[in-house]
Parts: sequence; C-alpha cells; structure tokens
Amino acid sequence: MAQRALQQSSSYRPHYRRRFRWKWGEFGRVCVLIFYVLVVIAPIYWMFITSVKSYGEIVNVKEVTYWPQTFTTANYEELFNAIDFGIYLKNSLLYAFVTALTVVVITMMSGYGMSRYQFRGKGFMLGMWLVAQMIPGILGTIPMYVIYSKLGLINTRTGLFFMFITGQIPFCTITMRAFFDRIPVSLEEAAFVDGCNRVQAIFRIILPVLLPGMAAVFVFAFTAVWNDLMTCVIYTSKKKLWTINVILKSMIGRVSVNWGTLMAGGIIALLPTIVVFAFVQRYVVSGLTAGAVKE
Amino acid sequence: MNSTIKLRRRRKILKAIEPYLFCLPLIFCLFGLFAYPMIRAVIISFQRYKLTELKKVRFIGFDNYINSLRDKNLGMITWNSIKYVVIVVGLQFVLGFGLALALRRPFRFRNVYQAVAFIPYALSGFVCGLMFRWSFNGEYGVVNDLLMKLHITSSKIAFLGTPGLSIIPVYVAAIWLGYQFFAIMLLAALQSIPQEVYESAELDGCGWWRRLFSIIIPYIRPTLLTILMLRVVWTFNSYELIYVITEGGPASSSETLTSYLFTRAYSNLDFGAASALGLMFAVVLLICAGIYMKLTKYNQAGDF
Amino acid sequence: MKKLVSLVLAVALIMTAMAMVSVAGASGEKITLTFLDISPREARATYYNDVFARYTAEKNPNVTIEYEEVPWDDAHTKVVTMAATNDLPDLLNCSPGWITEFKDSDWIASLDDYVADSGITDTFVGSMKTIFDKQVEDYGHIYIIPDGLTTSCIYVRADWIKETLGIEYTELIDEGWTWERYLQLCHELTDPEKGRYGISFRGGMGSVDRITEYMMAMRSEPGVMWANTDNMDELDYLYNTEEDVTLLNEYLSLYWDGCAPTDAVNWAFVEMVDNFCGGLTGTLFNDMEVVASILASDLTEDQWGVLPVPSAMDGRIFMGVNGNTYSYAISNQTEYKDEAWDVLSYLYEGTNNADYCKIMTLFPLSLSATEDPFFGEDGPMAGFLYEINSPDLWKAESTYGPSPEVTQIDLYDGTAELQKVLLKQESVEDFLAWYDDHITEATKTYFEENPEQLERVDQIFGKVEPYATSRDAVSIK
Repeated sequence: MAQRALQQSSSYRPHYRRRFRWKWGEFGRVCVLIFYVLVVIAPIYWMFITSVKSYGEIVNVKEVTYWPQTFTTANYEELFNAIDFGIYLKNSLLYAFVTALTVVVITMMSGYGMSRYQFRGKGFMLGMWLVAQMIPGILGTIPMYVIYSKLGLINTRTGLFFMFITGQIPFCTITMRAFFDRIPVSLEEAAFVDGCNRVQAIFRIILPVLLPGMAAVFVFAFTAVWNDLMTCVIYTSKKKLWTINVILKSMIGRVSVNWGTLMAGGIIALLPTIVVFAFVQRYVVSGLTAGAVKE
Repeated sequence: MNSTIKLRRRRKILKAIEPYLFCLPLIFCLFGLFAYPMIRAVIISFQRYKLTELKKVRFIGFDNYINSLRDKNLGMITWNSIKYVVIVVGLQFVLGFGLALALRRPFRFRNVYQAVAFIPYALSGFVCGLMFRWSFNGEYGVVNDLLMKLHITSSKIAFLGTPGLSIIPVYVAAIWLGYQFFAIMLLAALQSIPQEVYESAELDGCGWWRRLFSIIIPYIRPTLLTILMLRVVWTFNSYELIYVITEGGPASSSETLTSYLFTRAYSNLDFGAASALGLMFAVVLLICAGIYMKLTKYNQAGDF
Repeated sequence: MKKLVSLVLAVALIMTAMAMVSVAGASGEKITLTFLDISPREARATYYNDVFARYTAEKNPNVTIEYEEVPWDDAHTKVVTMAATNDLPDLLNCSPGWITEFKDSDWIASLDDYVADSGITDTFVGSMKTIFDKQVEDYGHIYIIPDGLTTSCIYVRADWIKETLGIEYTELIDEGWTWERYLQLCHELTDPEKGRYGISFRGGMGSVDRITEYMMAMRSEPGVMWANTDNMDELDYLYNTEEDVTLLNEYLSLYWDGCAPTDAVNWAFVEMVDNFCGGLTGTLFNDMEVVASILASDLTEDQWGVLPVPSAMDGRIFMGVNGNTYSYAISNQTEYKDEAWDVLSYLYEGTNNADYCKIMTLFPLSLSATEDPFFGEDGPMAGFLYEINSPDLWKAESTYGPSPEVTQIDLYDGTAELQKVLLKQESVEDFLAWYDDHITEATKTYFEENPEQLERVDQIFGKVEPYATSRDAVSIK
C-alpha cells in the first residue's frame, strides 16, 4: 500500500521519483552483488591461503592463521616440478574444449530437430531420457564399462572424447531445444520466404539469436568435463591421459592428505575456467532481443 | 511421369526421416548407450547377483526388493534424502535466481564480475568437499574460529562429530557448488524476455515484486520448471560430497539413499540388492515427477 | 524407427569389429603386461617404470610392462569394475582388506605352485614363511606377495610425557607397557586447558578392529575369539560377556571422558594423523607409513617417539594388521600368468625390494636386502626393529573374513553401530549383542553356502600365531 501511495504521489514529480528509485534500487543491487562476491571469495581465499602454507602450519592446531606465518611457494613448486601438473592441465583443457565445441554443434542439430518437428517416438525419447536421469549412475558403471571396452575405448584419448561427448549430448539437447522453443517460428518462416533452406535459415537467422543458448550449453559441457572425476578414473589407467581432478585425487593417500599441494592444484585449476567464463558469458547475456532487432 | 512420382516419394521419405536425422546423436546416446545399462539394472534387480558369486547368479523374484524395504535404516535415510534435496535445491534456487536477477541488467565490468561469481561452478566436488570438511573441523576449523571471534558462539561446535550437525557442511558445500547452475540457466532465460515487456510493465507502475511474479516468472516458467526438476533428480542422485565430507557418519546420521546405495554396491558387491534399491528410488522419483508435471500443467508450459 | 535402431546397432557392431581387429593385431610374439598401482606417487611411478624397463632389458625382451595407476581413494571401485568386466590388469596391487572378496570371486590367481616351484621362499626373510602359512590357513591358498613388512606402533609426544610424567617416554616400556598403562597415559596427557587430547581416537571406518584388538588383549583368555568351531550350529562368538562389556566401557571412556575431541567419533586415518602432526593429540596408533607425514610436520625430533603396541596381561602383543599395506597379486583373467609371475619375482631380485622399501619406509622381504644399513639398528627405522623382532609379538586373528559379508559388518555397519554407542544412542551391551548376532550369522551363512569351506574350518578359526617367531625371522643386523 505504502509503495503504491508513494508512487501515486510521486507521479506528479516524475524527475524526483525517478532519481529516488534509481538510487535505492541501485544500492540494493550493489549490496546483492557484493554479497555474492563475498560468498564466492571467502572459501577461495581459504584455499589460496592453505596453498601457501607449509604442512606444519596447515595442521597446526594452536591458532588459525588468516595469513601464512611463513609464505611458501613450495606447494606450487612441487605441483609443477615433481608432479608435472602442466600435462594434466593441458589434458583437462583439451577434453573440455573439444567436448564443449562438439556438443554445441551436435546439439544445435538435435535440439533443432526436437524443437521444430513433431515425429513419432519423440515423447518416448524424452521419457527415456528422464528415466535415465533417475536411475543412479553407480548402477550403470559396470554395464557401461562392458560397452566401452567392446568398442575399444578404454585407456584411449578417443575413448575419453567419445564418453564425454555422448555423456553431455542428451542434457544439452534438451537445453538447446528450450532455447529453440523461445525463438519464434515466424523468424525462420521469413527466411524460407526469402528462399533459404533449413540449413541456411539456421545459420543466417537463428544462429545470432541462439547465442545465449549456445553459450549456456558450452559452459555446461565445459564445466561438466572440467569437473569430471569418475569417467577418467574408471575408464583410464594411463597417467598421461589423466585430468587435473584425477591427479588431485591421487594426493589423498591412505593415511594422509597432501593438503597444501592439493589446494594449490585447486587454485591453478580455477584460472583457465575464469578466463573461459569471462569470455563466454558475454554471449550468455547477449540477448535474444538484440539479435531479433538487428534482423 | 514415373520419375516424378519416384522423386516425390523420395522427397516424402526424406521428409519423414528428416527429424530423425537431426536427432541422430541423441538417438544414438539413448538407445546405443543408455538403454543397455537400464535394462541390465532391471534384470539384475530380480537376481541374486553378487560380484563375489558370479557363478551362482539366479533369479530370485522380488527378494531383493523385499529385503531392501526391510532395512531398519531405510526410514531415516529416506527422510535424510528428502531434507537434503529440499534444503539444497531450495537454497540453490533462491541464490541462483537472485544472482541471475542481479546480473540481468548490464553494468560496468559485468563480464569480470560474472567470471568471479561463477567460480565455484569450476571447482570439482571432491576438492570443494575436502575444503569444507577441513573448514568445519571442530577443534581448529576456520568456521569455528570465525564463529568464536565474532562472538556468535561461545564454545567450539563439533560439526562433524554430532549427528544432525554433520550434514551441515555437506549442505553448505552443495549449495555453494551448485547455485551457479541455476544462475547461468536462468540468466540465459531472462535474456529472452523482450525489453519492451519490462518497459511497459515499468510504465504501468508495477512494483518490483509484482514485476517478478507477473512478468518474469511466467515468462521463464518453462526453463524454471525443467531445471528445478532436473536439479532435484541430480541432487537426489549425488553422493560425492557426503562421501567426502562425512562418509555418512556419525552413526549413519548423514547418509542419504544414494550414498547408502553406493556403500551397498561397492562394499558388499551385492549389485542385485543395489539395483533393486536404485530402481525403487527411480520409480518413486518418476511418480513424483508425474505429479509435479500434472500440478504445474507441465505439458503446456514445460520444456518438453 | 525400427530401421533406425538397426542402423545404430549396425554402426556399433562395425565399431566393435574394428576394435577387435586392432586388439588381435597387438598380439604376436612380443607381449605387453599391465600392472595397476593402487597408491600412485611420483617416487613409486619412477621406481616401477625403472624396474620394469630393466626387466625388459635384462630378463625378457619380449615382455614389456605398462605401469598403470589409479588414485587410492577410488582404487577399490575401479578394480571391482575392471574385475566384474573381465578386464583386470595382469598384475596388480591389492590392499589386504580386499583379498577375501577377490579370492571368493576368483579374480586373483592362486600362487601356490609358483611359490613352491620357484623356491622363492628361500630368498625371503623368515617372516614371509609365516605370512604364506597364514594365507593358506585363512584362504586355502597363497594369493598375494606383500611388498614389504610394516608394523603398527604407538606414536607418542615425547615432550608431553616428559612434561606431565617427568620421564622419558622410553621408560614406559620398562615400567610394563600394557594396554592398561596405555589407556592411563591417554588420560594423563589430556589437558583441555592447554588444548591437548590424549589420543587420536579412531571412531570412523575400521574402529571395530581397534576395539577387537583391545579386547583380545585384555580378556582373561587372551587371543581366542570363537568357541564351538567344530559344530557350526553352535558356533559362538565370545566377546559378548559381562567382562567384555566392562572392557569396552573402559576403552570407550577415552572418548566419553574427553581424551579425544568430540569430532573424533568420525575420525579415520587422515584426521588421526593430521591431528597428531598438528599437536592436538598426544598418541596415535598407526602403521609405519605415518612417519613421512610426521617428518613433514612442524614436530621436531625430540617432540615425538615410537612405542610398541601395548601388550596383553600375559605379556603377548596382538596385532590385527596383516603385516603389509599393499600386496602383489596376479589376475585370474590374464592368459600370461607365467610371465606375470616372472615379473613379480623380479621385484624381489637384487636390490629391487630394498630400493622399494626405502621409498616406502618398509622392512624388506628379500633376505639380501636386509644387509642394507638403512634397515639396521642405526638406520632411520631402528625404532620399529624392537617391535617387529619381539618374540612376544603375536598375530591376532584376521578380522577380515572369512566371508565378504563379515568384512562388510566389520568395516561399515559395525562402524555406524559403534558410533551410536559413542554418541550414547545405544548401550555397550546392545552393541556387543548386535555384533555377536550379525557376525555369527554371517559366518554361519557363509559356511552354509560354501560347504566346501567346512573342511578348512579349523584353519579359518585357527589359534593366534606368533608373528615373527624369533629375532632371526627378520634378520636385520
């Protein structure tokens, strides 16, 4: 009530109203934005601080130190000199990029198919996908191993690509389909009138307005592969194929955890993704309407 | 004459298989890769199927199902799972939606800000889990230290050693790690709301809450409904954080159905019992999903 | 739709066929064996790659060995998955806790003939004979060759003991180092004012083993766990008497009286070690692998020391560990068992075993390696020599086994139930009754379903054994 009264009374003085609201709205938004940064930064800061402490200081119970008493880069040196972290970083990046790009291309096709056509079996496919989500993945590990091993995919790079890509296709197709659904069919029809075929229509008309969807799928597939652990652990035993997560996991021993190096690895693993996110997210927010207006 | 008919027929066939061609990768994944494990799980659930006794595999009807239902921990563990899913997905949703709304309108350095805000999404579960386990340590964990220094608590809390509290670090880790998914998906969906709609609403003098509930939410409802459902299913089926942080303890108090299933499958190697348990959850989940779809009139509004 | 499905299947079939062709192409005169390491570390990888390369160069140019790895934390899941799909590596590392389930599943090969024919036993230290005998008793066959010998001990804070008791920690041995004394020490070292706890209490996974060891030592009839083993219908697990209730109450009082932090109810190895290294706890019961962590911590040399496992009232020392942490086994799924055995025995030739044991701080098994001063009384491992050579050391009954179900009860359900007792949700009496019921029933069921095992019943329930019968058993100078 009060708000409405305020709005009504202030409508006589549109300038003041506007400024007043702008300020409070903006203030609230800044607070919210700061809140989110703090939520994210606090644990990351803790990881970083741990990564520059010695084992002795990390497990020291006498006092919790918020800045290391003795700043050490030994954990990072161990990571790159003794453990050759670069190899795994490169592997992770390779798997994540190739998977994400391939999945974007493939799901643009399949997402388009699922969105624009009505055909027999479509409902069944969606239902089956949903059921597949609900059965715990643990139960599938052994039968999947049988399939992959019959296909000769165990312990090969090609195999990993295959597993990562096929693992992401179903969900990403559904996601992509949702974005296609939001694009009015009239947009394509206009293109058909101009004499384009479906493929041309996709590239010329739909692609620009689909950017947020593509970016979302890219981010999704990229992080899914980046964070994957079990696929690589179960289906490869060759260290040269490992991802950062597997090498980090191997720092957990039977009796002790190499905390400092583990956290150092975690911090390093964050850097490439920050760059990727910064780049890709421009497109997530690039907006459907912007594209439509241009056309 | 004949050839044109042929050509027409060919075109017709091509037209008929066109959607299948588009969907070929999806069809391959679903029928070539997913179908076998699913069918296999169903078969095994009716068998006495222990990896340690593969020579003695035999059909035993519903025994696995009956035995699973008899488990005295089942009630508590089911309740744990429900709490886990509701709390984690609920807070992930609120936080994620809030972030998406805050990021909706452009501001300076938005790209940089987003890259920072989405960092946890780039962190794998076990690293994050270990870090939170470490931080919530009852004697020298940073959380206890902060709580004491800020005078919120007067004595140290043994989070990981107290039933009922040990799940808290798991909640925190799961929420921290997962709300970005909501944020990304919802942010992308928010972009699809035409600017004119906002503007006209603003001109009509709609307040913030009204705009949220009468414009924004209805507009992104399909996405909202879909990812909410998916997230519930995924959270239900995740066990990594529990395994890393509490191992279900103390005294099974933080066990959920999926972490319980994992222990059964890989410690007892009784995949028959594990499959029966897993399929029972799947059926319950499916029923819930059915009710959910019915209640939300999903067929008209949802993404599929 | 149907056509489409058949198309997909056809594609899959073609790919399968291609894959099979490529496998066939790889076989020929030269063979490649795979070895899976379950606890990868840089030093280990270097060692194995080096040894395997030398094997190919010196012994058999036709055999190359590929070193494969899996992180320890996921090792069991992975090995089980591989085994279930007939894809085990030719040679692998096993954890002792896995052997029961692996041999029951026929995944690992019996090494009886190889051990007998090769005469390898003669090149091993005396203790190895005991380990082989014990395997034959427990499992019916020899399945594994340990990588080296380890022993459990109690790590103590020397400075705390000096401060509170005014004595050197070594004097505790002369006073009579019994379990009773140990429990008392944990109470004495506890000082909440100074933030000190007496013990890195094990409340998490595997805690049942620890209480079993304690009760085994403290009962009026030490070392015996079962009665009526000759008649399965009346098989009786003994540790469920009033005496046991008192004993268990006494042991768990360590936790209830605050000799360990509240968190300890869920502590496993990692927390136990970290908290000892960090200066929160005064004693730690663990094996030799921990030394590396202590050396990396801020504890200085005069701050810590090693005491043997406390003795029972009759002077004997019972230890529940199998004497080793990782062991080599040969897969039953390989067609190259002979070759795999040859590689395996090479690991004990020359200085290979000594080199390995230096990396891992273990006692070597090959006799020739014991000459190395590293393992002698002036070497860094001298502290453990006393214990491993003690004539009083007895091997406690293996708590893993005879069936996978028993292991399950012991490791998983048992841990959760014992935690309920620690949290006072359940009484000690109830726990012992529960444990008795389950462990007896699981054992009986095992014998019902595997009647062939009944013949070996005496061996399975065999009496406790001397661990190393004399000082010469590990002949380290």
